[in-house]
Amino acid sequence: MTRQPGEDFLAALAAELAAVGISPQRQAEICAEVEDHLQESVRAAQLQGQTADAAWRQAVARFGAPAELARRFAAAFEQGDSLLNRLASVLVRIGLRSEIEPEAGRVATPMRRTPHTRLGWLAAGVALVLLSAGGDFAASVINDGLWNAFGDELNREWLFNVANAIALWLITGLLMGFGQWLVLRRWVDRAQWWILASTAGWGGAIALGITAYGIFAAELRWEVVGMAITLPVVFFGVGLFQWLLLRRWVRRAGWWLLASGLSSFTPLVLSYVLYVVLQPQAAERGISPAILALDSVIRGLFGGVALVLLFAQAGNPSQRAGRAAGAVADTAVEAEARPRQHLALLGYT
Amino acid sequence: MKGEALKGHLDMLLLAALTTGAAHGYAIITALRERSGGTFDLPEGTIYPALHRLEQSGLLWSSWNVVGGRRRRVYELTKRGRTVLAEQREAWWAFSGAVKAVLGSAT
Repeated sequence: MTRQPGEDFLAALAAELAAVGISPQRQAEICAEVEDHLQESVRAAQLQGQTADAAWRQAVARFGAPAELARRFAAAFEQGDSLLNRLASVLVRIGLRSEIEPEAGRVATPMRRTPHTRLGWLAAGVALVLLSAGGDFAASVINDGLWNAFGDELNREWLFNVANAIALWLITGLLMGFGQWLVLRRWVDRAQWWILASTAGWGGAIALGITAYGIFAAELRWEVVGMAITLPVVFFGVGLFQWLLLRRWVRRAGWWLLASGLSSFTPLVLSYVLYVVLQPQAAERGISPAILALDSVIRGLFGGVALVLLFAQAGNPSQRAGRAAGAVADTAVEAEARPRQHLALLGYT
Repeated sequence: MKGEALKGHLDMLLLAALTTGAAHGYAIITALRERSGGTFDLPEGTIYPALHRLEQSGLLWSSWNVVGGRRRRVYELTKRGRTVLAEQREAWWAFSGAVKAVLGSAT
């Protein structure tokens, strides 16, 4: 079987990228990007009358030697990488090396197909809301079962209450994350990390919040301080790990922290208003399934709508790219007409 | 000094090439070449690492899509990227104006 022209270059580039310590995921992304460029360059050259062989040779030559190119990429990442990016990379990369085949230059890249129409996004939104709500409701039912099975004898123990709260939020994070993953896996590669991030966020936030509260509330006079620390920790901690993933997939991922915080707190506030303020006696009978379902719908709405809005605003930039190609306006290039001498002085050749 | 000047101008040109909207690397290179009348025919081996560096620095944002069966990375300016471009453009205008003034008075 003959190798496609350019494959040798891509294989050499992947090897050099690995040699300079660039992560497998970045190797894959760079190779995919270079391959796309090579294909487009060759097609354009052929349209201008070049032979395929000459077009490939020219396209590859413009990238320079793979070793030098890899060194430049390594330098670029060293200069610009932020701590948050590194954290996110670690989160995504753990255990994934075996999935990457650098030699192929054709491995998975982050963004897959997202809906192209408003109707598609609407359907995706409905699915996300329903799946998120379903996951949350299932978590509530499971937790209710656990409570009924083990809570009667021990429900006055502080430790049991804490364990129950953590279990509830862990299961909620797991099942909501699973529900959302069913949709997200169509949009992004390695979406399975969403489930882990969701579980860790929900479980970790409540565990950390309870710990913080426990430390400060041991002294009654510090209870206000405990609450002041606990509430933001829980509010923003719920979506923290998912935010690290989202930053790689969409812009303005920070809104997820707000959405997930509201998703976790709104049902709590609702329950408080319903059972403590409006109907204190009803609290003794336990939370009704209808209220649990309402809580789940609210959580599903916050999570599902936020995800659709974040991914929809990311959109399909390559469609916009077509309009931008060849149109570079209002630039320094215009400010200084034909600065050939200047460019030569700077060393561009 | 030469290297610093090169890097600074390259960044400005790349950011400027994206002021009208998202573009992939090939389109950026083509746009720079065409708009400069062939002067800025910059090699891919220079452009792509620079694009990645700008993204890492938070001046660009990239996303992926499928075009013609191939995965394509597309770059866009971030809010911070626009701010930095505006600053660099202003500095460039001041600098080029000063150079012109000096060169003009020397003739």
